[in-house]
Amino acid sequence: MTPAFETMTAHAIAQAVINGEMTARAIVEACLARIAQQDPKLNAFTKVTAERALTHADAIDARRRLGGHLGPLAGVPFAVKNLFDVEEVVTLAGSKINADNLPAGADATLVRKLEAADAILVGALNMGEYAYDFTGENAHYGPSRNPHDPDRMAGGSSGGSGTAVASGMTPIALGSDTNGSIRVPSSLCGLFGLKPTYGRLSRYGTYPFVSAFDHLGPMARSVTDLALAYDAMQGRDTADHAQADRPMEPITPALAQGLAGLRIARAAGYFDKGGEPEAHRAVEIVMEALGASASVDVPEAGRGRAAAFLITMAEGASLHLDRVRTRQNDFDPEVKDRLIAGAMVPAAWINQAQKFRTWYRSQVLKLFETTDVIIAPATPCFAPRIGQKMMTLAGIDMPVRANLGMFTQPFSFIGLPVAAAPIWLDGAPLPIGVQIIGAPWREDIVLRVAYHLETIGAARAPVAIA
Amino acid sequence: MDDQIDWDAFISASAKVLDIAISEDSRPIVRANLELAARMAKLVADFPLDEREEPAPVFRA
Repeated sequence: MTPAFETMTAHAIAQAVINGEMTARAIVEACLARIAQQDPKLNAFTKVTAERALTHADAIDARRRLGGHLGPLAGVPFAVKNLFDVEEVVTLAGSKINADNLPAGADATLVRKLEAADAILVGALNMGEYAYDFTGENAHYGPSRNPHDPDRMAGGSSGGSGTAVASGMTPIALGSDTNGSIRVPSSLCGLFGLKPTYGRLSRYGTYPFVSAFDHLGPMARSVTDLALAYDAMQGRDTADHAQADRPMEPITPALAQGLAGLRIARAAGYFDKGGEPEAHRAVEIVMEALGASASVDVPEAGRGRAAAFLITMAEGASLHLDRVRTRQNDFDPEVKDRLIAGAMVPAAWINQAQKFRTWYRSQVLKLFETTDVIIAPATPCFAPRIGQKMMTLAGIDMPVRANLGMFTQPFSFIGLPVAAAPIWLDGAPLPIGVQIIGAPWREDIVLRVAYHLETIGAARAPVAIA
Repeated sequence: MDDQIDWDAFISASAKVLDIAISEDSRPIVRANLELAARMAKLVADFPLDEREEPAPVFRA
């Protein structure tokens, strides 16, 4: 019996297509049917590229009939946050303003790379406006809804990416993460997510937010799928000036190496406080599952977060300054006033934040002389309700939009690779994520740990029951 | 940060310099965001750094 599309991993789909058990066309048709059934109530997609996907599927099937080689993601449907360029589609970046732009003339580099591995693009996904968001809400296109409870946030800003994968509309989605925008929706929607090292994957052909912190990466329901997508997207692209000149370092073959030799510690200090009990309980569960009890103090993580916050305000405002002048009423109100304030931040504060960043980076890197992996909460709480403006964390009232990323910002600030892994507490109706943090360029280690947690059942990403 | 700062005057003057219109609806939210930024900036500035510390972005010719 053919398994239900929505429960199939990318790996299983590719094996079925490569072995001739299913055609790519059948997979894409099942994917489009799932989108037609789920998306009206969950609001993940802003564009479904059905014709392109079916044409592509037919080409893959024809190549197989002729005995041609199929790539490791053969027939796997995927979708991308709508800040990725997709040929003949307008790159919205979550905004109403960009809807006036011409359609993109070519696909983003990472879309091309996934399709070169025979994955099939099926559409573009909803997101928080201009990625300045942790909620997945959007005043123009409506909120991305959490498949585990549609009255709750998907998290942002890659909200549609979280919604699409957790609902089984696609097995893989791409997102971007400037301050936490892959890890926050992965936590709230119960997914595995990977924010690679800064400079690892090309950003060419995507709409920016804060160039100094912008990362792209995959979200999926299995660690193997994350690794397959990540491996397919590696490789030098001189079109992205911030990309590092790293060799291809495939990690899929080493996923099952286990924990041998890995020194694992929980992030203490800043990360012990400020979250609701579920955030800290998830970290305890992971530490127990990993058989680890050490802790490390991430020095001055709170100041690191503050510095990231300031640089984001100022760089984001600079990017959008002209639009704030001329099209203020076309912004999401939740975003516009943050951008206006950001334009007014004194330059000296930003320079100090950038100097602090140098110090903070050098101190955190020292931790990796004695530790290979740091475990920290991903979000301070379960998914808030859609429309909720304020939340109470550890007894303190604070805005939801700015603070869901309080635990993710200190790591993206210095470009460390981080996997998010979804944890289900006993009896809890919603998931919550933990971060698995490694030294620069050690995506292999963070995904090995995530894979181990998945294998022993401590982390899991089931499709939401519709 | 000093509670006596006249944020409304700062916002008005900055808006003029930047050529940004500020509606009365926006003003309190812009102010709240600036007050938050000021707290964040104080947190950063209070940390003693070597004055020869380089800013993180480094240009290479």
